[in-house]
Amino acid sequence: MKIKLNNPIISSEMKIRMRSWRSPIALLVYIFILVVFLLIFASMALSTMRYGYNTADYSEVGLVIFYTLSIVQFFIIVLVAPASTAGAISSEREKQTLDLLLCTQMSPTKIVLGKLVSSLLWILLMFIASIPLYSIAFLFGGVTPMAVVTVMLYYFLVSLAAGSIGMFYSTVFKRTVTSSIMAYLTIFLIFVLSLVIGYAELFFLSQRNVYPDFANAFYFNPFIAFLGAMSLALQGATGTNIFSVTAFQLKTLVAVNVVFLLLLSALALLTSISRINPLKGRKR
Amino acid sequence: MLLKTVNLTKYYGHFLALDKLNIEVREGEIYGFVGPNGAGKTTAMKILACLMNASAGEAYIDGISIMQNPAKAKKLIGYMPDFFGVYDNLKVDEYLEFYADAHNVPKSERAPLIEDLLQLVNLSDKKDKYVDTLSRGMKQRLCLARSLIHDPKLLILDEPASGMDPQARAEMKFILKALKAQGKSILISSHILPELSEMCDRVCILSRGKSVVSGNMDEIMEAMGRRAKITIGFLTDEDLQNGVAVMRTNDYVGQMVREGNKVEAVFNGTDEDMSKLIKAFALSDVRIVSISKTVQSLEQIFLEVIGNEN
Ligand SMILES: Nc1ncnc2c1ncn2[C@@H]1O[C@H](COP(=O)(O)OP(=O)(O)O)[C@@H](O)[C@H]1O
Ligand SMILES: [Mg+2]
Repeated sequence: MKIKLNNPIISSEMKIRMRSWRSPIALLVYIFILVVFLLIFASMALSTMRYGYNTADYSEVGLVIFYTLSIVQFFIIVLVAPASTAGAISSEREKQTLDLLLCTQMSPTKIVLGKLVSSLLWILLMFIASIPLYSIAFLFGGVTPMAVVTVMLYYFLVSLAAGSIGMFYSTVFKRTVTSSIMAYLTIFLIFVLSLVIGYAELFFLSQRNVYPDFANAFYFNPFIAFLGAMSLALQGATGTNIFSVTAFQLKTLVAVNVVFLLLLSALALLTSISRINPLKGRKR
Repeated sequence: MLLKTVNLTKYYGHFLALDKLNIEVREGEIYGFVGPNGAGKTTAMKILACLMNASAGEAYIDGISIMQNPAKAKKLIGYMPDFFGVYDNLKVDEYLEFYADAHNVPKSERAPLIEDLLQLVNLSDKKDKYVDTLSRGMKQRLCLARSLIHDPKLLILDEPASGMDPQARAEMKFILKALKAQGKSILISSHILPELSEMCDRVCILSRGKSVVSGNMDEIMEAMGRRAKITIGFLTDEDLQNGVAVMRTNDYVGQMVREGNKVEAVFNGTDEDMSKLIKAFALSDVRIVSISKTVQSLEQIFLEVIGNEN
């Protein structure tokens, strides 16, 4: 039997998106923001270098550019991903087209995945648009292709998780505005709670004169893990590590976080699929 | 039998919205679903379109259980809800292409199919227009084309005439008759009986989730009793007195009202019963100058049926 991978939602959403004048403008604004940050941090790095002894090592500048781009892009993606899925189902409900989709041969799974992939593809396009900026980092040196691949994979993971959370809320709330707000709130809580609990953990342990390298809650913070992953990927190039922990601890951090994000995405997506299935609970 | 429901029942919480509905739609017929707002028409149609679980009962389309095999049943059903959901930022042909794709219509078949459907619903010249530039009636026809995109055997149309002007209504009727001629079966709902009576082969009158009466128009009239109003003019006052006496003894004459030397009465019998009444007048030497009989409109019958239920 031929398995049909084609998903009508992806092709039509792409068509609509590419036709809109908003898309190129959004991409331009996005690149502009990246360039602004890049200029600020690169010039700072260049000026500190000029007064230093080691004027020959431009790789520091390359690394600064790489980190700047990657971190700024990380937060933009965290902001864009939930917004682009938070309307996925609720807007179909608003337009009263969800029932029409559900009475076609498309399964609820295919509908949810189609919507998700459409927004992930958009994020992929954003990343591809930023690749020329990464080449500047390569010009200065200090950055490995592996690091760029790592960053890309992590973006995929984070946009998958954030997008799935947006998707979940879009099946819960009738209005896209409400589901966007709830998605942002949830993501904000994941980032902030893991930090706050982590520092509280470290504080209470220090009361008992225990000083671990790392708090358990930090494993759940996507940004900390993202920094860890970049650091791991760059270690070959720089030999330094931003958290001053062992490579093994760094690998554990990344692994735990990857599993956490994957589980979170799977949970959110499976719930979404079940929520839009009009025949759920029916025995087959 | 193309569609058959067996004791189809739906509860919303404790509210019984559909109470053991049994209908049968034959191949190639237009079947009307009539009932006031809240009667359960949409509920029944959504269950049949596999968009909702029934609380109890079964439904079969072309022998396939929609409960056991919804994916297969969906291939046979084209559903048009009581609103038209459209994507405004797609063009008319792209809109149909999207649903053709969603229904797994092979790519090579789509373009000619879309041409044909647009021709059928008279939108061929709007092919390249964005959906949001279409008028209400056009959008509705586009939705009808959408529900036909996978060549279903049964069309389920939920109040397609509501909110349409008379011309759009006439156009829709014309298209539905053309579809019937092509061999499609159509299940169509309305809260106005006369709207359907002319077009439908059979109807089911639904009230509070229950089928009150179903069948072709004659059977429905039969079941309702052939309620007519008769007005009889008598030559003299004496004739009138005698005439009233004759009518009192007739089983089919109901309430009488006198107006001058005319009597207006409710008559429940068939044509044969009427001829018997006229003969009875003659036998009693009642001199009659005029007789008229007006059958009650379907709408009156409909309102009465629903009134009796409530
Ligand atoms: N989702 C729902 N939850 C609770 N009650 C509902 C729901 N949908 C419909 N109803 C009720 O069920 C009854 C039948 O509704 P419906 O099938 O829409 O009737 P119709 O289409 O004939 O106007 C109405 O009384 C309506 O209020
Ligand atoms: Mg309705």
